[in-house]
Amino acid sequence: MLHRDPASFRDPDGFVFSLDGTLYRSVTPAARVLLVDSKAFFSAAIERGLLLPFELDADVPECVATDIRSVIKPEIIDLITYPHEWCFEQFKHAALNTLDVNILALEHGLTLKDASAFNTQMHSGVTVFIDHTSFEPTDGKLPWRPYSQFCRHFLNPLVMGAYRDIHVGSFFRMNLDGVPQQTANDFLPWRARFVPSIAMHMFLHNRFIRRSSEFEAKNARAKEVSPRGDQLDLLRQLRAFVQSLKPAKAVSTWASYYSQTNYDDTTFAKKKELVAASFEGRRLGTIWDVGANDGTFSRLVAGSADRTLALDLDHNAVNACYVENRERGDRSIHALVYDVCNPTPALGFENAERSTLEQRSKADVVLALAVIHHLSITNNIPLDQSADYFASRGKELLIEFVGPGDSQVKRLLAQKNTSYDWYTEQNFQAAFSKRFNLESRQEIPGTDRYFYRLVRLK
Amino acid sequence: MRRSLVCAALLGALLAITPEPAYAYIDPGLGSLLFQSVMAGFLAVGAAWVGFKMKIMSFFDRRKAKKGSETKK
Repeated sequence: MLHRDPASFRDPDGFVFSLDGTLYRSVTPAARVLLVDSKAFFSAAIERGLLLPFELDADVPECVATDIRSVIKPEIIDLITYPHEWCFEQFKHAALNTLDVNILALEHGLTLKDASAFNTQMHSGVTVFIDHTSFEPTDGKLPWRPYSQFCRHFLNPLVMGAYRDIHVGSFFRMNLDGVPQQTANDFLPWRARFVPSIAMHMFLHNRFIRRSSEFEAKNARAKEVSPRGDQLDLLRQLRAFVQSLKPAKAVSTWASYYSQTNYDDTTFAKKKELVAASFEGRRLGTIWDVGANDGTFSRLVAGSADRTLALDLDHNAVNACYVENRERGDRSIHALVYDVCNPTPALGFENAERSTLEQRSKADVVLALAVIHHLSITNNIPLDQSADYFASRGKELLIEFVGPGDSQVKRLLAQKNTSYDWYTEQNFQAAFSKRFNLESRQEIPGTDRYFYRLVRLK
Repeated sequence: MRRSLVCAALLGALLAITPEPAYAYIDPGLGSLLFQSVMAGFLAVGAAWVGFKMKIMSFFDRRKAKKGSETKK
């Protein structure tokens, strides 16, 4: 059955649909001509790893609606992710990819029609541009039409993240069209205006945005801006500036977690051993590592699955995980910002444009190490509800129960003035056995921590 | 450093003389397009500066390379 992608309605030149598990993009005759005539550009972009490979003129299944004339078949992306789940460095790579694709396109007489952050994805460990109908012919002169969108989707969040310790993607949860210029400017310290690129692209640019209605009132044809200057100069300048941005220095609670825990080297090695043994000789589709921190354990188990989602609420820890994955060339780990207590919501038109992570990924195994005490004590989530949460995410759960005698739990309890006498291993077993079969329980020597293997009840 | 200060001073002056309007309805696209006409001047100056800098650097690189080859002899 044909299923039209609910997020693919903005571009008049084509839309994405799936049929019997295969993904297609329908293209209008005009868009097809551009794809054929600019074959050299598309081949070069794919060869350089900038663009998602696709098959032109794929066979149109006969059952498809008659108004679809031609289709392209893009390669399947392993996991679709959204800007509100990305860390700083992933954002930066997405911005650089958008600029690099456009710079290459200019060499072939093309430019981008839009610069949406949703047009880039991770594919086989690198950031690629996925919207094949986003290009149009150009003479290479300014104005560069996607400029305003590029600022909202990329430049503003990145500059904000370079000056303030914030999760740059979180603004996309509030507004799928990125960060408005005024909002971004209000976030920046006063000293930021003395950086020429920020003064130009953010503050001076904002003056013109705010005067838009005045321009329109004065001159109805003002949109026909006379060409002046080259798009290439603007794109190169933006590229150099984006490349220079680094995340703001932050004292993160979690990014240095493993150097501050109460594990000594022996117990930490034992924990690693227990986790590794649970995956030995297995071949899985998807592992969710909830509370993955810098991805130490995700990397340990990634070899046993097609994909591993290293999920954590701390954007600095996710950034560290992402950077290390890139350095190691680890292509199967997706480091994403994800909060169990406030997971990625369904967003956009009809709440169907951007889906929840659960709608995009089902786990075969959920790994939850040193998480349950934070759910129970920090967030007051009853053990029954935690069990429900994990049971609805994956068939199998590998969970570390951190007992009330653990020093980290004692630290959490010291900040609370209510009783948590219900937080016991006995109650944990009772709550989780309602949803899972208890397969094994192993003590992590020298700690009040226990490693459980649980399989969901049918 | 000096270049940054000059640019910041120029942009600061431009910011100071551009009045802030108070409109309720804003079409941000139009202002962005018009802004690029202004920005083109800055970009041209920037591109010229980079070109000039590259020429100077390549001049010194050539001299250095020449000196190096002479020393080897």
